[in-house]
Amino acid sequence: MYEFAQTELDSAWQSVHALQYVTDPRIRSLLLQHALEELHHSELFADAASEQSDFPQAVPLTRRSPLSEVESGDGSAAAKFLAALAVGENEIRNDFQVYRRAIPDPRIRRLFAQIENDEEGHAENSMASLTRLARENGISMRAIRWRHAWELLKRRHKSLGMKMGALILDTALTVLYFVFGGFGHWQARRRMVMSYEQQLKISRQQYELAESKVRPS
Amino acid sequence: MIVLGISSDFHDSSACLVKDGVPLVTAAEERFSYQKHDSGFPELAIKSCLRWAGVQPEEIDFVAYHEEPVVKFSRIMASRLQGFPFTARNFARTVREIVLGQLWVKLDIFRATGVSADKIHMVPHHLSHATYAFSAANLPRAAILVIDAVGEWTSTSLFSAERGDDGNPRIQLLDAVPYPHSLGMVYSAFTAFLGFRVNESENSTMALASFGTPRFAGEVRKIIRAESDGLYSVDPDYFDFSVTDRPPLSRKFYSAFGPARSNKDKLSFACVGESSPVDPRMQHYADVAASIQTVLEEIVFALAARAKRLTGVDSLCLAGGVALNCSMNGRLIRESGFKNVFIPPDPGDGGGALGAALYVSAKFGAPARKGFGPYLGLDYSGRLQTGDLARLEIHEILQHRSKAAVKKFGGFKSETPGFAAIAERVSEKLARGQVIGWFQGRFENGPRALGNRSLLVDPRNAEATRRLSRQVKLRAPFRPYACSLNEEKASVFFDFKDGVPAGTRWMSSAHPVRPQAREFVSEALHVDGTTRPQILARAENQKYHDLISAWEARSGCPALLNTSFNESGYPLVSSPVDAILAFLRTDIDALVVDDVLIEKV
Repeated sequence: MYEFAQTELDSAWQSVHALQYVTDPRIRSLLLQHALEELHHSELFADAASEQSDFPQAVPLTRRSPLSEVESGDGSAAAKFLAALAVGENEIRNDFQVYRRAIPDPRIRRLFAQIENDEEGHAENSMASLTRLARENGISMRAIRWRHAWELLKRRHKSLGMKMGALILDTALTVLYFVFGGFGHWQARRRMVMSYEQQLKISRQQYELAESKVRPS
Repeated sequence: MIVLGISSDFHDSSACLVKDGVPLVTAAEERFSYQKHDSGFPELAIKSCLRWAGVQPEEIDFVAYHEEPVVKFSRIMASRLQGFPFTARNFARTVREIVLGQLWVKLDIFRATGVSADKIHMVPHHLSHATYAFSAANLPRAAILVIDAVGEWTSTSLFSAERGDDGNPRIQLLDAVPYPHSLGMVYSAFTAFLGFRVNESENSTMALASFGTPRFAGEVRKIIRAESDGLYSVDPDYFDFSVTDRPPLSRKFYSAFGPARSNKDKLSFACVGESSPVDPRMQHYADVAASIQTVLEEIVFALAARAKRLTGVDSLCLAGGVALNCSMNGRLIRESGFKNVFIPPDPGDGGGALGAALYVSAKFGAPARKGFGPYLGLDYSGRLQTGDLARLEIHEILQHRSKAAVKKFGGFKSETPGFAAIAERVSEKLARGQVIGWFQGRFENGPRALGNRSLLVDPRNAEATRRLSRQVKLRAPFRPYACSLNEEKASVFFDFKDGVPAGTRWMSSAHPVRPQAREFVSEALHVDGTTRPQILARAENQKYHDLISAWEARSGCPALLNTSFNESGYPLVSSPVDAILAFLRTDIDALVVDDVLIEKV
């Protein structure tokens, strides 16, 4: 649920980020509306998540990266952004559907259904704006949609690749842990009981080393 | 010479630019990412700082990073291996994250700026903090106490510092308390025990402490032992820092203090007005909070006494996350015997970026020659015109889909009547019990809103404050608000013997309010009769000073209740769009963005 709260927050961030660069008033209105609703969804998920736990959980962080370059502010950049938004909204709506069917708690299912409905509206609005913008700027809709479908595919493969990579690396690290961990454990215990005088000496050496590197050439 | 400073990978990632020893701009990543205490690489903050200052990446001479990742990695490895063979899962995950990410910070910097590795300098974590505090204070000499959770290996450092004839600070390390002996980590562990979020809600622990009596101080003293020389040690048997899904506490801790508070258990304490009857179980938690606060203060007083003994100076600078504890800071200012206790505006890791940059700048011959305050963020002057609001077509949004996502109101109007008229109109609205969003110029660095990204309320108006807590901030009633007042009126509120202390300028310390002045700030008082003031000199923030004067002229009250302009769970607003989102989503009645006044109708 926290992951979904983050996804929705990221979606709000994308719209606010784009709002800085887009000048078309109708698209600005759409983006602001989108940001408001996504912030609301994020809170609904976060509230539901905190209800499920007795203790505050670490909230996962997302590294912000714009869906599409909108900095140039022209119609074509805005169109690409809207295409990415529409594709993304459809994708997340599909994810919500899967979770809604799998979750037994009726309150959470209702929450998913409500948000799915909104996401469908977002995708439709984005597509309507995109169609209008493409018509006004002579941009091929088909090209934009294919490009973003391709981007989406690449993103999914990258995500899968990273998960596989993490699994392999974790396995290797676990093997190393059990092979060399005993020696490491002995070293670690020695380090953890270091006296204050020893720590002071080490810290001073660390500072001197750092200072020696920061010297005008 | 331009130095880019960066901090990241724990909490409050930040970036800053220093030109010839002068801080140009500094900003936390959270202001751009909407993630409170964002710990990721501050790419958005770097880009924003560069764009704001008009600096091209190729103009950067050096990059300063706030810690040494390899040394820190050795500490994390040691802490994971210490629990061998029961820490396998945590070991793999932690080491993977570090090996794939944090160890390659130079690569991240290169990607973001194009600066080559030989121009990137790693500054030890506590040295970054110390340089920041000493530079901001602009004192000729001082003792510096850095207290946080942990740097690379040290959790508390004591420095002596003096400024040479060339302006260069000479900072010498006198003491280093090694991990796992850490005041910051113990305080955070108690914060988790009390049901609050670690690295975020330590201020809730501090606020709760005022409702309790320190009857467990003896038990806490078994965990944090004061040594005869003024230093301290921590008994690690009370903690289990390898767990992530529950408080990092061991059985020994639970047998001393009982079960941890669930976040579903309501704390019914209130700073003002009538508290509902308090459940004895919750009183128990308040007593635990009072006990850890008491012992923290004892230990820090012993450290301060040691600092005075070793350095012989009469000025003390504080830095590190523990320096955000304003109850402790207030007592240090009043009782430690130091003539001058200075707490910089951003003593946590956010300030570490600026400290690292100033350190490198000084080493290359451009030391900071003047102190600096908190208004070093970005501004958006001229970026919001009244026409922009019309272009956002808020009416259309209100009428269509977003009813659940915005607060219900009929519409809005906006105008630019000039500052004097804005101050007058805002005062009038405050007098009517309205909540005002106040957005001016450059945002503050650090966690405090100091009159540029603030929510303002009449500090005598209980109803308005309740509305602020329930409809805007979603703030627990046991957490007190702070207030702003002009320097000329400080003696009305406080009994400072030698003028206004430097440590009271930026809401970093709490002080008892004179009984006869309490009516002026009745809603910004804690249960112990203290408040956390911003005592403002006009030279520091002219517009805010003038607003407070206008408010006093209208109401006879010389203070304003001032709290950070953000919604619950979000960082302080940065841009006008952020402010408008908060304005639409909450019960803020009017919003001032630079010279534009926007009202709900």
